[in-house]
Amino acid sequence: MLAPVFRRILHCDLDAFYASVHMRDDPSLAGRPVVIGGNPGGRGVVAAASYEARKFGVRSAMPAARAVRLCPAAVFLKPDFDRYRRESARVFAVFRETTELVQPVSIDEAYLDVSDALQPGWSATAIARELKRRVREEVGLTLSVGVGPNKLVAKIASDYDKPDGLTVVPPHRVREFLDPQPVRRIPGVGPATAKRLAALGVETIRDLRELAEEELATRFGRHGRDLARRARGEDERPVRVDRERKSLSAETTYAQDLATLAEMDDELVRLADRVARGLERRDLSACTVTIKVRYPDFTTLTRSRTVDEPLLAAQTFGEIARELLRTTDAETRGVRLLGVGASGLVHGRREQLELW
Amino acid sequence: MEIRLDRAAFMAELTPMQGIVERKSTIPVLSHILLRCVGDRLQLSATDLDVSLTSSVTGEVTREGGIAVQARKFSEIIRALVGDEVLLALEDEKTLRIAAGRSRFKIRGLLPEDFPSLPQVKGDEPLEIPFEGLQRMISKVIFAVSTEESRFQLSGALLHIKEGKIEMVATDGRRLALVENPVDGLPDASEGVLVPRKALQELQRFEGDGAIQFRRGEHHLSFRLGQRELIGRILDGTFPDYDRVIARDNDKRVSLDRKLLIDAIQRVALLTGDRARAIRLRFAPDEVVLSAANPDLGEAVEKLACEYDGPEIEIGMNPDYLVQFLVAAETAKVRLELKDENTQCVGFPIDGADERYLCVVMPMRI
Repeated sequence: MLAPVFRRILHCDLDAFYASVHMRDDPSLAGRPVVIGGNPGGRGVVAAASYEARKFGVRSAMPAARAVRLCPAAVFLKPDFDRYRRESARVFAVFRETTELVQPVSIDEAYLDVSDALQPGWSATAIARELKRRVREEVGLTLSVGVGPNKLVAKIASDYDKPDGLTVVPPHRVREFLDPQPVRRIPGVGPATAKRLAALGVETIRDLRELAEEELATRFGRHGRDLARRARGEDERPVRVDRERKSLSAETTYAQDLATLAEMDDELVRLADRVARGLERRDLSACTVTIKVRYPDFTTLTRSRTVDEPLLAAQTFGEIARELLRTTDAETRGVRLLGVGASGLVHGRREQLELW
Repeated sequence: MEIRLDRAAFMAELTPMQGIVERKSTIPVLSHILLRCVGDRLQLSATDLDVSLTSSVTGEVTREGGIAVQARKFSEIIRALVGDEVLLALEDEKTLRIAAGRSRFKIRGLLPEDFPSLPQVKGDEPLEIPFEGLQRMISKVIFAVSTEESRFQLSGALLHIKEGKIEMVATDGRRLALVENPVDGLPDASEGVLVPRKALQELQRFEGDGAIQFRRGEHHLSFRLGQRELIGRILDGTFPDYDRVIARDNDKRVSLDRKLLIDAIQRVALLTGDRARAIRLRFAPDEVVLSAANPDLGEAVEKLACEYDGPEIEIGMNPDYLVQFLVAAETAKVRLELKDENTQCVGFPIDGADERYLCVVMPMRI
């Protein structure tokens, strides 16, 4: 067959992934609002919410206590990240059996370029249907898929009909599909940009498209030209298979503020250990250690140190993290969140030994 | 102030000031140099508060006084002027007039009172240290001085004056360089003193011959050569117990041609990445095999003859650490003493001019 003139890109998004994993394994949760996150009595944060809970306004990243007020009937569950990672790996295995061109975006989201996977009699739509069927039957989860000529359109399409959706936008229908949608649907248009656009009378993607690119460029700079391209549904970004990892981190928000340096030190050591193990699994070492501190009043800051020789021992990460903590006001103000990160990543686990 | 100067002589004293002046200082006056006419001389001073340099040049003074001027711009102007002579005169207390040939400049400056007062190092009679010898010693250890901000106490070299000799040691925690040279007539100083890296660098830029007059104050060190005096703040902190890491029971001794080894290491190191650079050295009887491998680049192998009759041993090392030692060693041949792949390697020049020179290099686990 002829090579396709247009690329065929799929955006696959698992529906309410964390909540769905729990609901799959516990039939008693079916149809009930489920919220995954920290302890609602304390100061945990919502990590995910089922569609039933979302109807009450529960959203991820909001304080769990607020979720309780919005939806008192919700079932609150603690997250089980190991389990999510396992399930995610099973889903990604299905993706990779379809095409090698899989770009993971997060644990529950990926772009697939199926342009070259098209066999006679197999359309991108058929591939999308098959993926949905396999994930449902083999893993027991539902997937929303958007099909489009590029990542931008595929992404907007997968979001169009959630959950368990399949939205196909052929190249000649891109404009027709995008035009009536609100500008907020364009990835990269957040509340701030949307507000500025609204002031220009721009509500829909069509409004945006009909605005002169020059005007957008004048008002929004380079971002303006980008907006104009997106409004036209243009996006040349390739599906990248080897998304290189730039950093690795671990953080925790505490139910109760940590007040003493001793408690904070213990936590930093634990977080540093998690980061060090993550590096080891990926055969990496790191030249920069960063700590993140959030005070009780939500002010957040980071401190980092870069060394000449890559680090790999959890102990070293912990020591540096503890020293960095002492450059903050954590001891006097207390903390509600601590994080440890590693960046400046280097392949391999070469270790320069120290004299002392 | 008003003074007429020989431009070339002035330039010669002005240029070294640039090394002291802070480029990115948040304190504006530190990007300035202080000019002051006293007697028949113009005194120049620059400081970054840790290291200061003062110097002077003779001239025809018609009025005393001083001003602090922006170091870089002032130096650019003096360099760009034409003619053998230059006239400096205060227009008002914050404006300096510069005249040479047909050029006239008026530049803004700061009051001399706003320039930080420089530490004075007084005390006993200065010690006389041959300048050339001191520069040589610095060049043999300065590469091992730590550049990591967090290792403050390693950001300088330990200068230890002993009876009849001087010892200098530097380490960044991964390698260590030690040099010891005889100097006639030195008394014994009970403890060493930490000289900051910047002071060492400036001493290397000094020109001249004869002896440096060295004084140690409570918080500062003074090095004086001719008209120039470099004053450095003594680094606080405890220098680690370096004698302990100079391995003495390394039983595998390898002798190599120094230049051939440098070349081989540098070739093989072409296939190491930017960070965590590591090469392997496998020592077998009469042959060392150097290799490097990088998943993104490929691999390199080179063989080199050596004098060795012990068991085979393989060790990973940062090529830069080895090369820096080898360059500083200067002799035709060097000896590496090894124990195993996790123990420090100690390198020595063979038949060197120094009474004692060695470099300890910690291996890399590959």
